[in-house]
Amino acid sequence: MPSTAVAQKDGDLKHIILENRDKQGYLLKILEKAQETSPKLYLSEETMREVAHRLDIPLTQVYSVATFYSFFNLKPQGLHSIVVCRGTACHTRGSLALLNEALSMLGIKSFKEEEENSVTSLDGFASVRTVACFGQCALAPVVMIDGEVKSRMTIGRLVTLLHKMKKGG
Amino acid sequence: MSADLGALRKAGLMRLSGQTPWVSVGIGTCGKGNGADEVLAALETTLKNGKSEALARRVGCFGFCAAEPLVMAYRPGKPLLLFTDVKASKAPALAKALGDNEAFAKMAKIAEAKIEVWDFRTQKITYGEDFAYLPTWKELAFFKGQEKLVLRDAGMIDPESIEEYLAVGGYSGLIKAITTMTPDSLIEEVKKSGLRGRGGAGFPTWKKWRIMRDNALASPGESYIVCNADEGDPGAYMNRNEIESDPHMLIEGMIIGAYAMGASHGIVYVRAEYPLAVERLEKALAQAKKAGLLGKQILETRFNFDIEIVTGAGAFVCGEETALIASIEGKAGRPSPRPPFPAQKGLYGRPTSINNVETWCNIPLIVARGGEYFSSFGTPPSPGTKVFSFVGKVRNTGLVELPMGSTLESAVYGMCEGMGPKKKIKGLQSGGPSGGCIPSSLFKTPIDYEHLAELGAIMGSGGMVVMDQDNCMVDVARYFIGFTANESCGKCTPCREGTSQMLNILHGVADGEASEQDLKTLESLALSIKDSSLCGLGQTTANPVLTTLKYFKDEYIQHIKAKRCPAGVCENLYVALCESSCPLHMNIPGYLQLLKENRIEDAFELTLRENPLPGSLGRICHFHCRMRCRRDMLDESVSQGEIHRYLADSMYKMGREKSIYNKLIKEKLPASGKKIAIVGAGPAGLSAAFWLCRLGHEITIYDGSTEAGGILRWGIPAYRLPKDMLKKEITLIQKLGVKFVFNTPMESKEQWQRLIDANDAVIVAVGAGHETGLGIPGESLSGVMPAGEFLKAVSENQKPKVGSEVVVVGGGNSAIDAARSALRLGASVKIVYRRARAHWRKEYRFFA
Ligand SMILES: Cc1cc2nc3c(=O)[nH]c(=O)nc-3n(C[C@H](O)[C@H](O)[C@H](O)COP(=O)(O)O)c2cc1C
Ligand code: SF4
Ligand code: SF4
Ligand code: FES
Repeated sequence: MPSTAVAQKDGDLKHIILENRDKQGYLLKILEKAQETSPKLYLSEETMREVAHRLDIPLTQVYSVATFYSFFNLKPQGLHSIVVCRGTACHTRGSLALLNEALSMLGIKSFKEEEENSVTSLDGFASVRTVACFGQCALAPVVMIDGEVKSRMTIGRLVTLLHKMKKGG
Repeated sequence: MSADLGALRKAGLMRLSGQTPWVSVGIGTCGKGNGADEVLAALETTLKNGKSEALARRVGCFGFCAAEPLVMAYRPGKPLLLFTDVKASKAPALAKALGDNEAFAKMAKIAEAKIEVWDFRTQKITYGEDFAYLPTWKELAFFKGQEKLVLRDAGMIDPESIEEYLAVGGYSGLIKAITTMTPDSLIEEVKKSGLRGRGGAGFPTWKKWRIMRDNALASPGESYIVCNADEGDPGAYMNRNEIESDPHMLIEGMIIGAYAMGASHGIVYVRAEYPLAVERLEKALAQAKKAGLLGKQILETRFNFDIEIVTGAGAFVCGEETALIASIEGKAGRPSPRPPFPAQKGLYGRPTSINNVETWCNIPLIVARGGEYFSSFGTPPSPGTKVFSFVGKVRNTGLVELPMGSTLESAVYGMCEGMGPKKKIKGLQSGGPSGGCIPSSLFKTPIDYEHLAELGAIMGSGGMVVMDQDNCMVDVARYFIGFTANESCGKCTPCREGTSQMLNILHGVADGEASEQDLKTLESLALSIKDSSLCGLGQTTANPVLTTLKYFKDEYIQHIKAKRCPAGVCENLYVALCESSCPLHMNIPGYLQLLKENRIEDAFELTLRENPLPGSLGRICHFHCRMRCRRDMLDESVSQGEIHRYLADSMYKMGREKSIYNKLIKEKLPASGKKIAIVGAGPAGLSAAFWLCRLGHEITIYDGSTEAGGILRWGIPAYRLPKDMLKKEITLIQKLGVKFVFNTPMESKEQWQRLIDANDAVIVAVGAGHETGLGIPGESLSGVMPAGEFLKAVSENQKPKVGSEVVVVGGGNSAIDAARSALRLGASVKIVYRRARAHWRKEYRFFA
């Protein structure tokens, strides 16, 4: 299963902010943790407002950071996650075909890699995203499925894994 | 305090080379991806259940990523045994081997290599000598020529144990620095080493440190040193591995740096995709603090320094220094103009010095062993070693640590063992999105900052992605520009708009919709983006375009003019991979479909229209189509040759080819009045005649011998290509109206002149029959014969004298034909081939 995070309560966020506000790179840390602990793994408008308010910094700064870094999701994420590496080593070993296969199996019509970081199927079943490199290039192509890194992926294996995922396995 | 360290060190040494046998598993991210965790768990359980005293140890990554999981086994007094590709099911056997020397010796038989001594550079451990038949690790192709300075501990010690790091001489550099050296003498030592930044640009590290120290002294207060572990270059992962395998080395380097530069705070900026590196670094920081090596009053002196970790959030541009600083400050990571330089006004406006992970990791060794020791490796302008990740299309992918100045060739074909005979390496991409593509013809280039820059590439952080014939260089350029267009922070126009314009043009080329003018526009765009962008990202983004245009222009031209993607990557420009790789571009999906419907005649007709010699070619083609067949991933590539042959043989047997021949003859275009001479009646000449004649031209083929066929007739033995088959197929060309003139070798200038004068065009189709020889002494001795000459004699039925024993040098087509012919002449034959049996063409292995 993907995240086992419980619903994010006000208290959690407060805690996260208190714990990190004096650290180096505090805003990244707070937003990363806030996203991780949110049930749909994203930063909602309320979360961002709350962070800005508690840190006493402009909302525009929070929003600018949240939109700048590809790690942050501004939309709710699917139940499952599939991350396809689009780094050079994986690209030369055929990762585009893997991405297309994953999209088509989940019924996702279009995904503009150059414009968005992730896309979620209409039924909210799964999100597909790309990453610049997992640093596992020696075992390319690499795909991460629900947090587990799978190396030397083939289309055949990906299809099997996605079928299993759809059956709830 | 130092007594404490002594105890820790001793405990570590007991683990590494004490009386307790152990087995270790390399657990880095790569190992994990290949099942190393399962192997370690299986070993732990087996040892526990067997009540064995032996240890199962977790260590870092040994660098041989393609062969993970990597396991080592230790018994006191014996060499370490090294095993590759280990499965969890091997656990019982390994556990047993630890039990006594006899079982250990038995296990040694299936080991890959042994390690008798290990030079940790700050310490040496001698394990023992034995197993004379086993190669040492240094003798394995992958490690031959490597020099492990930065990676000296990786795969040998537990990255989560400060004891083990201390045991192999860790923190001895720091102790030496703090107790015996001044900041100035430290900077002097780094200067002596000649160390240059490993993050890309190669700026002398001592200079950076000097400037920083002077600024920090001039402006008392906080100052920062930063470790850049953003490692955003896709294809590069050495920094991840350096942290995962040896986090204390980085920490030690930073503490020494802080002491030298007078910095009060340290920050390691790690990218988000490296959770294991962060986890291990956190543990190591806590251990160092506890041991009094980090924090307040380090080693009981008045020196205070602490390190914090910041994790990035997926933005390539944050590797740029000013962007990285903005990112730590809690802003979007957009670069700012320089000056002011970070050393003047960096993090929170204070002096800041940024170095790459590997730069920091080199420091402990330089201090412990002296700058001169370090500069005894590499070349004078680029001393030391560099860790490279070789990935993509090579057999042995992994991390390779090379002395600077080693050649690309030695790494690609030596350590990484190339791709074997089936695929041809075309080049490599060095330095990620800021780097360039280097063609294989320039692989003799030494790897260092200057030489790579001369070629238009950069060393960058050391990612080397090797590409072969299946990679399209237009696609590679498009891929990189897509990457930077996506990663451009958008602050300045040339980079933001320019990259998306370049991307549009490259999409056009890949779709077959561009013109040669577009290439000119592309080049001038690339040059102006280079000149006018604000930060390093924009300034280097054009490198992949400029280098592919420079070294692989022909591929661009093929996309534009022939509307073909020879590698079969650009989707709009090929039908199927096999079709794309066949030199005739035969419509393979087409005739297969007809065959499936049992329309043999139609399938033959379609075949013949593109391939006038299907029966012959089906037997002896080089079968390019099979090298790209997707079916290869399932079982075996489809043998198109067999299909040509089946179609031709059945049609000729039934005599049904005639009506199709007649159809082709009828279809001939009206006479054009043009005369064309073709020199050479081999397959190339015959094919040219076939197409030109059908276009209505008047064709005459001249040949020096008595019959048509060239290599098919005179080079390939009859048992492989029956001469009747060839004759039969040549009749089609005669029937189409091509004239043949035999016994006419082209020997004089006048002859050529006459031909040129009498024709509208002359096509030279003489083939590549020239013997090149091996270039070794003794080739002209009697009894040594070039294969071509021998095969010609065989096909002329001369029965050349071969004696009773024949050695054939080589393993390709001619070599095998020669070997088989000699065998038929009654000799006993030995084949000597430079490649390993496993790398030989499958269909040939069966003869041996
Ligand atoms: C777009 C861009 C990305 C960069 N990425 C990295 C990186 O991932 N790691 C790194 O060490 N340096 C990177 N650099 C270079 C750094 O800005 C800087 O020069 C380097 O960290 C200095 O360290 P060194 O002197 O030890 O090499 C990048 C530069 C640019 C312009
Ligand atoms: S060159 Fe590109 S990445 Fe750098 S500041 Fe300009 S737009 Fe941003
Ligand atoms: S056997 Fe030769 S001619 Fe036939 S499809 Fe393959 S490469 Fe082309
Ligand atoms: S390129 Fe995919 S893991 Fe590095």
